[in-house]
Amino acid sequence: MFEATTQNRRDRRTQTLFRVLFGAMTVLLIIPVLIILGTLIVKGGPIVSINFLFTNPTHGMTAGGIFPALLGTVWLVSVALLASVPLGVAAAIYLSEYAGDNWLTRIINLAIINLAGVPSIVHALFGVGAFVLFFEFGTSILAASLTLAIMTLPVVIVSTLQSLQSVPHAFREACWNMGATRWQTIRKVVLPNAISGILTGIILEVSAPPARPPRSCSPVRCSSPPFCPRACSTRPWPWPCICSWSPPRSRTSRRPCPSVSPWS
Amino acid sequence: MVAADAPSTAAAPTLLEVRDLRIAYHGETALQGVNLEVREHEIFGIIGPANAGKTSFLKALNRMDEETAGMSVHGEVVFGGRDVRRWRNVYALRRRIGVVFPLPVGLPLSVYDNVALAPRLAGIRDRAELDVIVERCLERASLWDEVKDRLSSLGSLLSGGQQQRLTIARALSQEPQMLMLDEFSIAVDPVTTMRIEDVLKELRHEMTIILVTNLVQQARRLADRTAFFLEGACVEIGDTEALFRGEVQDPRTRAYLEGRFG
Amino acid sequence: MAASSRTGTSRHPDPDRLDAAWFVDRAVQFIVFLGGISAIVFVLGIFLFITKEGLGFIVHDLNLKEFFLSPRWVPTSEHHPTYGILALMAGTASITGLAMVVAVPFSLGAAVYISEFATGRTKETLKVLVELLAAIPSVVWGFIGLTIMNPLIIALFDVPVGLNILNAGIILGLMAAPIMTSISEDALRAVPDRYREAAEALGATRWQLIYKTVFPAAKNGLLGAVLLGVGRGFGETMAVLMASGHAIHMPTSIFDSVRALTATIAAELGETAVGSVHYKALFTIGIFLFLVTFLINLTADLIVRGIRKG
Repeated sequence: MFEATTQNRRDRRTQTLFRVLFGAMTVLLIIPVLIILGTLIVKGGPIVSINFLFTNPTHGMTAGGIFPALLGTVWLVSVALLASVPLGVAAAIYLSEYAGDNWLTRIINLAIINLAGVPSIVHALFGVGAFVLFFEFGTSILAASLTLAIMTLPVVIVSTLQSLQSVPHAFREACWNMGATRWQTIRKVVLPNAISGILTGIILEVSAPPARPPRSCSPVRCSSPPFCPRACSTRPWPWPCICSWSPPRSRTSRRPCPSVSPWS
Repeated sequence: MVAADAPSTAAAPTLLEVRDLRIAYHGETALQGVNLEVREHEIFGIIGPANAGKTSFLKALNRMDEETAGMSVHGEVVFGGRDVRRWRNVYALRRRIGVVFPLPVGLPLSVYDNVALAPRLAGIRDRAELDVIVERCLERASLWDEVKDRLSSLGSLLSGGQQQRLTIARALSQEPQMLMLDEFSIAVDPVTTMRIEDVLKELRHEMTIILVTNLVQQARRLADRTAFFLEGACVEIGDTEALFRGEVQDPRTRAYLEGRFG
Repeated sequence: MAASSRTGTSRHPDPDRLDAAWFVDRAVQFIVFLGGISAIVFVLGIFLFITKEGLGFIVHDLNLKEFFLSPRWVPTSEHHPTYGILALMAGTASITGLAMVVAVPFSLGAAVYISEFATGRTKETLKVLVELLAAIPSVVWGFIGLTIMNPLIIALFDVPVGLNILNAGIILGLMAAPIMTSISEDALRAVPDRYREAAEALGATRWQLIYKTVFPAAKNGLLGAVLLGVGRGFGETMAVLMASGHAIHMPTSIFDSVRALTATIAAELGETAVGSVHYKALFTIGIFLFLVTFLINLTADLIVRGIRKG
């Protein structure tokens, strides 16, 4: 009664075909990751050590350690987080707990998507135009961090929003029915429930940007010698070129340091 | 049968008066022209099939319609002498009304914190005082014996029946004037239902109770007067016993009470 | 039992007071509202500041026809600087185009496999690995383009230069793939299980069920995913800078070196003087990039939202 008909057999073949096809595609997509990880571990693994982390580079950045870059990244990310996390969490709380379904909310959502989708070079241009020049912070960690903060803002908002929205609505309704205000509900029930998700989200999502060269480095001039892009320009150096502290440059300064072109 | 020791409520002052209440969702009418009054210390039952507007009615009473998108309410709801929509502090209004939902909601706090939440929000900080309140509320909700040794365990991990009693304990901790229960026995076993019904019979001496239920017999057991809601209108209100004896004004009421639909 | 001697309001002495909690709630509402509109403020701010810097060029030196139609981008010429971005646009378009050709089928395929065929641990592992793909910094991708793909292409295809459209296109495709995969996977997952169950009950095989019920239901989400991937590819700078070569000309084959809009800004901004025409022209390219990605994101959002409403 349930013998396979020719139609059945053909369907089953098509199904297997597609299953294999899509599976192969997935694997092909993943292969580069494995290769990259493998190469990095194999080639780079033996070099990583405490020494590597905490000494300065020598011989024109071809030997020694990565300490200054590490320190710079730490500074950069810390200040950026300090700026973007409170703002992002506040925005997410607004969207999750207070915002109504109206045009303003739609525009905010659109703005977040755009903020996330703006090409990083445009973020860099903005960083130059706003922080380096207009606010006259000069080419400094502050300018770079603030630019980075704006880049990470959408990511913080979206990830916090997801955590907040995963708290069941029934909890909020129970509190509201008891006469608790929105903020009391958030403070006592929603936030404590969502906080672990929020923190994990921030840590995971925000660990990506430091891997992308803080954009402010391409147009923003680096200044002090060990990190002058001139050194970078002699060979491709897969580390973000970290700008160190420098006094704000005057608007009229003509040619800043050469740009980061990791070859020439 | 309504408990023999229930105080006569015929002459009691009115706590809640509803005049021409109309509720709509995104323009579509859900409830219209409801007029009723609830007297102090009575258990007022509301029965009717699904989608009759019973839950919407409750929401309009404590202004939870404002938290529901698309819900609009017109008409007057006079509670404690003033129209609820004219209260400036809606939270103060809601604190005076306790609500129990169909699905038990144990907040993801410890059992102790669940019950201590409302007093803490009201400003009570003293630990000793909170201990007393927590024990008293859990005791009256018939839950104390089961949780007294694990007050710090998570409220959301209790069983359904326990969570429902926890909800009642929470409501009691507000010291409300009025308690509204919306089909509280749906997700709860019969034994717990009986225990809660006993609790309600005790509570009526201190507060007024509105009991929405889909169990017609439950209304008969508990309610002094009962209203019958059908398809967005309040069809009739009357003394519970009289209704069940058949002294109805509308034939649909009799049909529903006899179980012929809904 | 005597009725309680309490009457209605005596327990609560004038409870309709605006208390501290009420005011705190209002204050918090205001503060988070500010946070909420901060996104709008920043987007506007970005547009404002880059326009401010590029305005001079637009007002004084911009020749629209030359800008959009001329392939000659020679801003450093002594006597006759030209600011035509046609070749640059062609560079961006060809690289992004190739990237999409590479990425779209693979991402959709992977999304379908992960969402519909894979189960349990395999599914989780695959998802993690795809996410890892997204975590690779663009500098590393550029590095790969320079050091691995370059010699590979030269050897495989016997061409003189390995930094070209093919190189950058593949790299970019791999970079955009994770986003497209995960959003497509979300779109597929959003299709309610009852669609699948109904199809299975009718006797459809897994593939038929996907093709006939899940795809049509998820098509807008999938389209949105592709658009977002395009946006990502369009705006990528570092990897493209390193892998696409340096030639500013209209490409004729995928083995040609090209220069993209983003790479141009990155490469040249350092060599300009603040406030010079070249400097402002680069900012103008930035404005153009901003507007285009804005449009892409707006369209993607409308499409994805359109389905959520419908």
